[in-house]
Amino acid sequence: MRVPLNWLREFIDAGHLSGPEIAEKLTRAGVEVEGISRLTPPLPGVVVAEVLSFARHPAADKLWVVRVATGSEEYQVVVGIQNYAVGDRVPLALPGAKLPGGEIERTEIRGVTSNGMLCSAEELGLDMAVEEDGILILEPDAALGEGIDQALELDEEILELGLTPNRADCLGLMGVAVEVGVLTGLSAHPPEAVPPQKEGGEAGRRVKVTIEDPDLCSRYTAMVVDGVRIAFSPPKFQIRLLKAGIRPINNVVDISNYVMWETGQPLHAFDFDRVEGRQIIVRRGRPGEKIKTLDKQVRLLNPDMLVIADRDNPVALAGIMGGYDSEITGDTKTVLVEAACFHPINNRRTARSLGLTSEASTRFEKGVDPAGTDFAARRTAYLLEKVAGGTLVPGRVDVYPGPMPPWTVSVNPQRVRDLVGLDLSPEKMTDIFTRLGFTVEEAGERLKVTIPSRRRDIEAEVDLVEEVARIYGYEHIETTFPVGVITQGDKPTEQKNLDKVREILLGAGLSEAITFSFMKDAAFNALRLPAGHPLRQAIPVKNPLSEEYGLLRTTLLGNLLNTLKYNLNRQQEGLYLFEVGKVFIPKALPLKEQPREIMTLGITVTGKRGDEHWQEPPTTAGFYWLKGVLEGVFASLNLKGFTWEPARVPFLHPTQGAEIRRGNTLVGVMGSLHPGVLDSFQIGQKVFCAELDLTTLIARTEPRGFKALPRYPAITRDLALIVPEALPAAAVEEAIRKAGGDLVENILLFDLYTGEQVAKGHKSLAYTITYRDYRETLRDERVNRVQAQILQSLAELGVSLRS
Amino acid sequence: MQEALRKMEEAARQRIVKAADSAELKEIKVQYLGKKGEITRILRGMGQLDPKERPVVGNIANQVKENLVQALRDREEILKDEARQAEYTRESLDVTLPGVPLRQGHPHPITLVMEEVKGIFMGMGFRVEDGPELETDYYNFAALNIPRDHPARDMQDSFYLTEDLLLRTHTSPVQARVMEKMVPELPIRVIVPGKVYRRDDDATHSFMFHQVEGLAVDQKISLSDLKGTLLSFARQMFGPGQKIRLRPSYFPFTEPSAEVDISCVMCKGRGCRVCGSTGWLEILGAGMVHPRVFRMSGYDPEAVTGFAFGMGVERVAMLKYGIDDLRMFYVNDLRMLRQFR
Ligand SMILES: [Zn+2]
Repeated sequence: MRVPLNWLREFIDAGHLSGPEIAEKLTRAGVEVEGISRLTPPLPGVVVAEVLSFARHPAADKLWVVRVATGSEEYQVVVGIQNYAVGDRVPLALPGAKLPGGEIERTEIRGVTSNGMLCSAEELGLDMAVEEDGILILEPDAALGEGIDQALELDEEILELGLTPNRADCLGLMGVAVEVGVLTGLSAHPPEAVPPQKEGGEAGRRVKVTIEDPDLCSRYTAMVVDGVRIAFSPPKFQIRLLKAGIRPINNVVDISNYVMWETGQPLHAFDFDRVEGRQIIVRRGRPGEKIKTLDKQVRLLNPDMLVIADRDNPVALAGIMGGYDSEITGDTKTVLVEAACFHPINNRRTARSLGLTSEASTRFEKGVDPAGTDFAARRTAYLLEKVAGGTLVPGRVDVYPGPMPPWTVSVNPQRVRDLVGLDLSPEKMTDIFTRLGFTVEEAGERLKVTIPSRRRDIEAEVDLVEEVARIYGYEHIETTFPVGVITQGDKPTEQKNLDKVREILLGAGLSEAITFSFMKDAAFNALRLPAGHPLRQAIPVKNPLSEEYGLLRTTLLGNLLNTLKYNLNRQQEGLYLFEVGKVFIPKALPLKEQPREIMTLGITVTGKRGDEHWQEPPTTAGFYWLKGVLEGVFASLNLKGFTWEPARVPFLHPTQGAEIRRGNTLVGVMGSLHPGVLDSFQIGQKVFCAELDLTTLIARTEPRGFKALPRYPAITRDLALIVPEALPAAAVEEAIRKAGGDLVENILLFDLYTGEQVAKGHKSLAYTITYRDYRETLRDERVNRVQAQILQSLAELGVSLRS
Repeated sequence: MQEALRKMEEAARQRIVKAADSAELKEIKVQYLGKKGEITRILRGMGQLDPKERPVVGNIANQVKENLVQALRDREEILKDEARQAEYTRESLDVTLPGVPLRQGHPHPITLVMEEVKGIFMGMGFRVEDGPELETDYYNFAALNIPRDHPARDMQDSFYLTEDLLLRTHTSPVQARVMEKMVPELPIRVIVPGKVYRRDDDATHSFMFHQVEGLAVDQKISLSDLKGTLLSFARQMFGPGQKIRLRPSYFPFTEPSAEVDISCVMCKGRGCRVCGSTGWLEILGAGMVHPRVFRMSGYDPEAVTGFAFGMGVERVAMLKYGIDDLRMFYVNDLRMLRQFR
């Protein structure tokens, strides 16, 4: 809501308060002033001048030489158009004046000196409704020589209110004036209007109003004004509308908008001669019925939409937009003024469904005060007489099927004190309510407050609590701490475990990325996921921002690979990224219920890990490095019993991918990224990736016990084994452990060799095995015996000792 | 004889001082102090001496012996020291060469700020809670006193998955979930950090961002408690001199409601470009839990009161680190991430 300050001051004598002072008061009371602006940049050097004479340019057909005076001085200017008369007041831009289009200079045009320029509205940067290309003709009383900034009040400060949805009362300048009055102790007063009219009267004989759906239209007030002369509004009038942000059209339409801005009550002006049957019927649209609206669009109506109809056809979409066939034209003589009150929700729904929102519909959907229609109609009639030369047809037609009774809300002063933490007496509270224009009655402990209809937002006790707090001033509220039972600050187990995981990853050199929770369908192909793959079961967004973000993600890898690519394109070659975020796995599609939200860890690593160094160069990303990180993650959570099985995962390298299981549960996959995926993402270097379901891993904290330090020494033995190529290391280890029993404390693989020294189809694995007995000193003979058993069971797997 | 001993001592000393290494010292030791050494040789002539003189000479001989042993030891020390010094010179390092980088990863600034916010509120007795990102219309709106067709729904344009399911537009639904779970227990003090989604995308809005929601419910919690709690937060987060300002505002699920400003972290309240020369920066919305919200989650609004607040994490991070482009947070440019630890 834009509030031109001088306009506001017509409703409250707050001349001694500056714009910023009023802004500060409003903001502090919850009517936020987001900024103070003006309509145009200053126009120095543009002044009001009077046309003294004009004549054709001696050497150019299309030019005029005009003599103008600013009171003290006379000037000669060359002008390209002639739409003015001697005696007209016009804006004169003197040499040196700065206009939106540039600076004005003294020039000579075909031998005639031009000491400046006469300006059109457009040249002044004003989007007014005027004859095309004409010089702007000012009001006859504009003071000669006065700067145009002052003459047209272009320097007026405009307060820009950022209104919250509950403060519909401030959607009109009168409401804002009331609020300023409450905050300053000044009293607001309404503008001039025609006197209250008798119900019916001549107007009642001229027009009949019927409300067929009183649930959707609580009040309809109509007045008729005869003999209007349609024209452009006077410049100052138009400029006020421009300051409000409304485009001027013609005087009648402008007046209805002007009064809406003043009162907050939307108005509509019909060309009464085009209202068939002299009837106004407020009714629902009929199936198949159509209306051509002001914007020349033909709209299909339905019974959910409220229309204003004449005897035959709809003539307006109630509260949203007028009809083309009843709009004000140059020939309009008689105007029917509508000031009505339509149902907020119905209005909102219709506006949404047609994609039509206007200043009027915004006001209706936030709630218009039904008590205000009559005044708004009278104010409109007043201006139609004064500005558009009309004459009010005496009387009015006011259909108000169920007048809203005054309502009261009771408040317990103790409740105010408790909720706000303010030590205020009931008298002080009463004073605040009275300033707000509420009437207060004492009712025992409580105050019974009667609310005026313009404050429809006050419905319950707590609304009154808020009124007291905001008018008294939040700045006067103390700062205290909650007292009472002490509570323990804490994090859920999952989050504590997540912190551990994050710590391990950061320590390992991985940096954290946060990407959007969306993905696009094309990413599935890029990840080589075949049709029907579970990860393709992504939930589509009904109203996505774009195709790019059309689905809720089922994997983090697509986004991480895009991030990798982004950084690779910026000369970052060693990229170690992880993300912890949710993926959304529907139980069924189309979606019926909330999906499973799985906290997921995604990792993508490529290139060298960290900066180069002259002594210790960084390692390069590899399968076993990443596996080590994941093992570190599991260890940090104190989780054991993971198995790594070679697996064909669509986006992983066919022979470098693994599924990670704990017991029978698949907890994640990892490996080298499939070369085809690298191609899709246009990544030219090897990338290793992992994706883990954290939800199950972080659900519990495994208790961590302490094992007493051994009291007896260990014996270590190195074993170099020749192992068939295809036999996984895990099988060898398992055999050692099984055969060695409790005596085997640790198995450490310290070398892997394939090559000439080893028979074809075999590899050499070298282990250090630590044996220890916790109860007694271990003897070599015992270790020898155990190791013989180990070798024997290894032999069954085709494993032999390397000689 | 005495003379001979003294002379010998002097000669030995001369050699000890000039000895170049411990091998030479050993040689000298054998030559003078050994079983067949000079002293033994001189003392062999003792028999020819007057018996009265023998003890005197004996004493002197012992003294010379002791002196030479000490001289040898001293020299040994000096040689060792010299050798070590030479070693030190050889081992000298250029201490200005760069150290081995730690090669740690970098946390995301949003995570850093969220953890800091959590830490501060945990210190004030708040428990961290979590809730679904994909919410029902009921929890996201209705349970928060935003029925269908409420104009406040315009403030939060949503991503819908079905008629009834949407990506949560704020972390506030967790308020309702927590209260439903806790009722009738008191007190409640929770914060809810998490991702939220709004269908807005421009220079100052991201369609996904992070919020931290706070909720305190007890028998007598007041707006002044909210003010105190948030002042303490602002001072811990932005520095001890911080001031806060509450301005009346409107949220459907709180009343009275407030926008909360902190004194501008850039200009310390004097006014600058960042704060639009007001000296204040808006960082969160807050208020007293609306009676209807209490009623819907099963608490009696006549018996309990509470406050709630919600802050945008990106906003706090931008102010804290001086980041001026919201989009930076989701691009994950390593050159940015590397600046955080
Ligand atoms: Zn500042």
